[in-house]
Amino acid sequence: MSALPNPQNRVLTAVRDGFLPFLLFFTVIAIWEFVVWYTNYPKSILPRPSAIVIAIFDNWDLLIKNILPTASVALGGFLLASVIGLTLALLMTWSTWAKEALYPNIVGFQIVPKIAWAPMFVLWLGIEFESRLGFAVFISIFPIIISMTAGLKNTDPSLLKLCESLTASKLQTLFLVRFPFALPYLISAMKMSITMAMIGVIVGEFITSSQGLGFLILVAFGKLQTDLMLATVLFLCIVGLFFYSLIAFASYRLQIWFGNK
Amino acid sequence: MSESSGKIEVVTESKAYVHADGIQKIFNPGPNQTVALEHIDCSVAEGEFVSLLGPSGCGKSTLLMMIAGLEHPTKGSVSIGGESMVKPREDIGLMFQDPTLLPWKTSLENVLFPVKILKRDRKKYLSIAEDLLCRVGLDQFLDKKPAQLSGGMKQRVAICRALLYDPTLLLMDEPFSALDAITRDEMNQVLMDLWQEFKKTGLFVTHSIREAVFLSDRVLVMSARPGKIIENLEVPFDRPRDFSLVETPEFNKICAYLRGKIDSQH
Repeated sequence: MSALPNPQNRVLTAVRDGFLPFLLFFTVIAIWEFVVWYTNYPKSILPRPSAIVIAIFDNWDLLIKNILPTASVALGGFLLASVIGLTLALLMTWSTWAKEALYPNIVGFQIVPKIAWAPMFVLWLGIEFESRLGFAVFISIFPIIISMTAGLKNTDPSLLKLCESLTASKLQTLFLVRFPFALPYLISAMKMSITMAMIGVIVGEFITSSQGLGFLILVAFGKLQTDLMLATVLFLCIVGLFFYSLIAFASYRLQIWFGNK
Repeated sequence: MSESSGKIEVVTESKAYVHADGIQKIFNPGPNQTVALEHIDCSVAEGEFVSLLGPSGCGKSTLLMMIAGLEHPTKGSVSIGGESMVKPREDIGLMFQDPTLLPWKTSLENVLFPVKILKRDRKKYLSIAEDLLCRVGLDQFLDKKPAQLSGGMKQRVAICRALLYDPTLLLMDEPFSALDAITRDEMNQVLMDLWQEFKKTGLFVTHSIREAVFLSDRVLVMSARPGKIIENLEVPFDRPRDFSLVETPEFNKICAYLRGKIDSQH
């Protein structure tokens, strides 16, 4: 028999699980601050964390202004990728012909380093937001298609037999049983996909843009304002975290719907 | 007792409701083929409860799925109520080893799932569904989701779903084999009581001798690959049956006899 948890153990466990990540984070920041200060390291190569915080306050308006262009295109790209990816996955589950034609190509394409396509999107869709949106969709759609196709296929075989015995049509089985069963797959694919969409937009902004956080990084880079560069990266982290937590919330709601919480 | 147990009685075709005739099933025809079933002839009369008893892999589930219209025999044919069985029919209720419930639906909605598929009048079946769930003791669990139910409760929901349309035939594929022994006995009693009331024709696949004898009017014993029917035994106990029956010497004598039949195949 294992030992019953005593109050002291519980406190220790809470400290370990809740506090330890923060402790590590702030320790690293403190060491960074100290080492840069002590060695008098050039600010343009590695600024102190405190300098980054100051840069945030100094450039507050500039940073805030550039969030929306990046975040809106990333979110738009992600949503489009989800809708198109889901539709393709449903189509490939519904029709074996569609699957045989599309799936090997999609998997093959998935292996190609997708970043390499970014300049093409500028050529095809122009230097405005359309090219970044297009590239964000392109780069974030694969996890949705592949994960959803697997999810729609993985339905409990007995349940499919039940549907068959009830003379359910293919479409009924797809939408009433397969699709809801695959929703957890969709959620975990979305977590990956939103991150990819952010990468897509930033790469797009690197190539051609006059606004957005990716653009701001390049501007700061050009002026060797390393503190502003890192401040911008921090803002990108916050935007990414915000999107991620939206999907985490959806995942939580789904768990409730499945009766697990 | 000992005389009747050896006798093979065949239900005459005239009163047979389910009839399987000369069934053969071969998987992967070719040099590596598996003969799953061979020369299967059996029938179930209207209102009769028959168990298919046999070791794992003897093809008893395959036979059941053929009767459900979900598998096609390589040779032979199945007919139900005089009609040849080529595709699934609505008037057959089906139960599987897993409860196969939809996790996002409540017990009540799960029982009503066939109504949704067949686009029937929900109102009409709502009270039937509620009534069935109350009858199996789930009146407090109508709005609970499967994750909040025990294994036995889930199978009760599955029984209710299978009975919703008042099917003429209920096909059960080892429905209680994933449950613990105590719950299993409980479920046998639940099924027995439902049977007393609804008087369906039933075919029950199991590898539990005790379960087969307790529930059935007749037990068909199948041999392992290729599956053949090697015994056809009438169970002589009156209904309604109570679980104390399993303690009686007569009951255990029949079980021992069937055990011998199964063991003789190894």
